[in-house]
Amino acid sequence: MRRFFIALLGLALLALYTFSAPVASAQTRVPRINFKERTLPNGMRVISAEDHSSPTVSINVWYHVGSKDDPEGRSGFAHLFEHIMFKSTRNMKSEMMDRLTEDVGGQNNAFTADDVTVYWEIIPSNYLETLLWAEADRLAGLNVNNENFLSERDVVKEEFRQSYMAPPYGKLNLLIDQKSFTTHPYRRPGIGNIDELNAASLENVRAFHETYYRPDNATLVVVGDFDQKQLDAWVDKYMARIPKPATPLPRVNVKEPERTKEARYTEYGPNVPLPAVAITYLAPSAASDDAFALTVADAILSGGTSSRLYQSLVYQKQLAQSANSFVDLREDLGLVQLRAILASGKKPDEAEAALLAEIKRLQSEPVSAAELEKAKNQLVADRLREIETNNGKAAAIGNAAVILGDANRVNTDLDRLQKISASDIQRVMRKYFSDTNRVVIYYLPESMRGGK
Amino acid sequence: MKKFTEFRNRLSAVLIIFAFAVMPIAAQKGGAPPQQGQSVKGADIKGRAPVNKEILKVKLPKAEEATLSNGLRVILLESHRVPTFTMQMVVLSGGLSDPNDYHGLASFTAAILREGTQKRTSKDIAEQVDTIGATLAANAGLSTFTSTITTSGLVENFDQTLDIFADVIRNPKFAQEEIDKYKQRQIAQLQFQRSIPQFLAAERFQRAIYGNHPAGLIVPPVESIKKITSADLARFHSTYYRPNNAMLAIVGDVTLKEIMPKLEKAFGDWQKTDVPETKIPAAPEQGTARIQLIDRPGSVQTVLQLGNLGIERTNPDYFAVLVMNQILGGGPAARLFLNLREDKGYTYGAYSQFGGSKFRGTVISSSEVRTDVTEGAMHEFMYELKRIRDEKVSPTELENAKRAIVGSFALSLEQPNALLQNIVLQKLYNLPADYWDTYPQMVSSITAEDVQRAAQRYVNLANLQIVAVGDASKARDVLAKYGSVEVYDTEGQPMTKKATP
Repeated sequence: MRRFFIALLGLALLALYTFSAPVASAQTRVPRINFKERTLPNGMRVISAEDHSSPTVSINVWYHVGSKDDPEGRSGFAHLFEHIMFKSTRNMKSEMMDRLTEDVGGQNNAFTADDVTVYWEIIPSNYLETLLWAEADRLAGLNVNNENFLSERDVVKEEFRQSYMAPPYGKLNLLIDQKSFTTHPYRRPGIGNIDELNAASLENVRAFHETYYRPDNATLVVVGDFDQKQLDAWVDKYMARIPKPATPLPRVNVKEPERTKEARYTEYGPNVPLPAVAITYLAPSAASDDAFALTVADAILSGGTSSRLYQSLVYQKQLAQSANSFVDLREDLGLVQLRAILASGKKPDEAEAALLAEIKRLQSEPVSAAELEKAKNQLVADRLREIETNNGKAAAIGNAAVILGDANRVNTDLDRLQKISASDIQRVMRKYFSDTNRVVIYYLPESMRGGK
Repeated sequence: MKKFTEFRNRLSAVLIIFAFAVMPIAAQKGGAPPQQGQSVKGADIKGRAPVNKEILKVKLPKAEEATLSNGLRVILLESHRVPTFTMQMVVLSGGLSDPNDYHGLASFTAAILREGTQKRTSKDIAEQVDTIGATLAANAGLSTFTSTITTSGLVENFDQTLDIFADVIRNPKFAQEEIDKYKQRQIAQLQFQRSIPQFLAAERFQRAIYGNHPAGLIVPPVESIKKITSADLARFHSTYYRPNNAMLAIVGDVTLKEIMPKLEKAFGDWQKTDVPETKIPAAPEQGTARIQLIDRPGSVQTVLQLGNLGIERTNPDYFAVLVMNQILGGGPAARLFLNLREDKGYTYGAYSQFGGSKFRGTVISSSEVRTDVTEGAMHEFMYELKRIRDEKVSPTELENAKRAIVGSFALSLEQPNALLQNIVLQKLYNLPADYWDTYPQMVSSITAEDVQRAAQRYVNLANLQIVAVGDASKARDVLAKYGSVEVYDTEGQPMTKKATP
């Protein structure tokens, strides 16, 4: 979930000439990101990488708190809180972050994930000091009144409706988390629900800020056109003065039990044009060694139109209009999801069988050298596209530092990915996928309720 | 190696983003008055934003041009940030060249290019593109005057990527089996799109503005997809995909010297022919104001789109409309967002946008609001549309908007693709060669009077088209306060009075 999302009315503007050039890809020559890392006395981690190729700079502030930390009975709170961080602080009026960025041609936004909340700005480099000051200010002290809070809560409820209730498969996204985890807080979708959002109060905001928004729970990443010494001085001036609280940082320690049997659900939604099938399996942490082989397996299943799922379900059998896999890896544990939206007139069980056949095939036959190479090339190309911009680099560094626990993995992970073998893939496919540990969800048009 | 005529594109001047100097941040209205109340933690942060008043200097890189022996124009923008490149063939005919009753032929032709050539099957192409980590896509809209084929990849795979790229452009096979498969996927896709409320709104809105003009359709009619044959596709391709009717634009970690021989080999023997001229139909005059509601029972939100006919891309009012749009609804700092979202909490977002081609585009304001505030949202939309017409914008708003546009232009330098897009656009619309050099000055010259004049011309309440998608049982009466409401079902069929709640 993002603070705002400008969905282009693209459809309405097809008349407009567009030059949508997807960016490029790579094989082995992924340039190393040379970054500098230090920890301030108050515990804030600061990572910076200079790049003077354009007069811009990107700031990311990664707070190690996400939807899994939503207070009990306050599902959706971390995300609501993210919105509140754009309201007034001790020294800034509401929405001043927008003025400081948008009014100079920059951009800012934020997103809340299961494990982290990330705030970012892209600005002309001569505004770096201003935005460091502003980020420090909202970390040091929010100052939100009840009126602000209530209207922003309404905005978040609209985001819920717009992103999950109005789109045809929005509710399926909620069901996947709700049905895939039994115990871990990942079972609560980060967007929350209307009742629990209604229950949230200004007092919750104050407590959440005090508990989680502290320098020793933050990682500041700055990438772009700056002078290292100057940056260090500004960081010392604005960030280092924020005191570190003496209280301990709470962490989620819930263990999700292993699955012991298949679970099946059928749900219906209004305005669903075609049936959908989703199958999920529990996966290890994003930081685990097995994440590499699972990531390569995912690319083999659904990377591009030559991938196995597209070729089998969409192109050859014409069972589905789309068929995809996702390695949805998170800090504590994750999911591998398979999803298909059916073609007209096809039955969900046919698509389910075709998806499961592709899992079996990966378990029983080693992938060919050519297919393995193709998957790796695609993953490397994706990484290159990601780090083309300052903000992409900052996000990659932040993810390595906070989710993977080591900023240096931004440079070393690709080498490890390259070493994955066909037998590694077969091993993880056998380890994490079985007939007794999957969750199967059929998401059907309301008109199919009551059989057919 | 044939002739290389090199030109210097004029995108080379040092551009000074003077607009940044206009107003220091701390002097804006958000100028940080320390507020009352206690903060959560006691940090020593001073109460005013530190501001750098230095002028940011931006250098626009220059593009190079060359011509192949058969006349194909080549434009290259070097960019050496990462070892990649993007290459786009712009064919100078698109949906506007579709024969009558064959809407979608250009788009179908483009889409089917990668489904097989004389020497590669659909699967070969997918396999080879994915294997080198490349991308390959082709597009034409129903009312575009271009079709584009775009590939991107690693510089070390340039030769292989170029080989596939040239093959799909020059030798598509249009095999019956592939055409049938594509039709089936396309028809499923159309069915899927009808479940998306924004799609339904856009479809109805375009029809309201353009009627039977090609821009009145946003997707091809199913009947038209069904009847297009292999011969139709082959004819469109051989008529329009010609080197004298195309332009090749490249950005990336390559030099003209190293790629020209390769391009000559890939495209040099592509045959020229006379290409029939496509007439650009003018957009129809605006009709009277209408309110059209698409009933989508059970919707929790109402999608609202309100707008008018706007301008061609080359209209002298372009910069005035650009600034007007920025103030009205160009982003999270604009009036619609601040009013409908930040102040009222009606929506997750409210924006305006405009576009224009060789015929007049639209100026649209839009939002998705929860059903029970449809009335309030309509009220605020009408208020903002009237206000931008009736009142001159304040000096602060004007300066902020202009600074935002110019600054955002400067920031786009981080993306070489955006720069190349600008260069292509300048050529497609025959804009002055120094268009992008003077862009910041053109933006800065806009006055509050210009903005108001643009609003009065292109935000016209007398013939405003309003389209809503939502639960008609709840939205209909609210909309009826603004005029008589026509109700449609999601298939686009008018609903009889009896059937509407």
